[in-house]
Amino acid sequence: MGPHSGERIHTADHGIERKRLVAERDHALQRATKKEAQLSPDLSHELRNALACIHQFGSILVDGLAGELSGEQREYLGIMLENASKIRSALDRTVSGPPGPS
Amino acid sequence: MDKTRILVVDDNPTIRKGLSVRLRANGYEVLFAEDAISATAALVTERPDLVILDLGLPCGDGFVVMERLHKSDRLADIPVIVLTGRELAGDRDRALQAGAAAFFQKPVEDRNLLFAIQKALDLSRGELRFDA
Repeated sequence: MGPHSGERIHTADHGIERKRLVAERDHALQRATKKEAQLSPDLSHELRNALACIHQFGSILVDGLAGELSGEQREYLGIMLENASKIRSALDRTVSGPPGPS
Repeated sequence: MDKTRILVVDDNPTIRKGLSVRLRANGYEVLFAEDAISATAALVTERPDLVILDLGLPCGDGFVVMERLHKSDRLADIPVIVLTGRELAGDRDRALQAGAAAFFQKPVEDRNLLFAIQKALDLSRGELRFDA
């Protein structure tokens, strides 16, 4: 005994509704993911300036322009500069979002 | 022999200091300006050999400074290297079209900046005929 025609219509509606909800969820997820990959221009500017300072002075120290370093100091500075470089790469991968309200 | 004089225009004092240490270590004399107005004044009074220019400045922006440079016959051939933390779309194209010799986004590798400085100076002195 098959389902009543009323039940079949309900199932079809339910399937369409489910697809609509899944599509909406996927769309919302895409929007959220895109927002995460964006930084406000002001924040990006601030981060780049701070990173520039870390990089500049780290390089100055590594290059011995402020005096000779021990091997250990040079190693630690190298770690610092390497990680500053990673932050820079992450920043370069982000997209600046639209400016906030003035 | 007189040292080559570079005007560093940036409103961040730490950035100015870091650039100063690096540039002086490479034999350049360094002048400073921290906003568009003092940069324009320094261009006229000091006539540097090259300008390293941030775009996000108080009292105008880097483009105001570039415009001032190009309006003056006496200053128009001073090479400008843009070094900015801004990420506004079109800044790079606009700066290069306005005559910037190079465009860098902070942070910049020192060797890349120093190479660009030397290349811009050589070009402005007629020591380079075409882009190498």
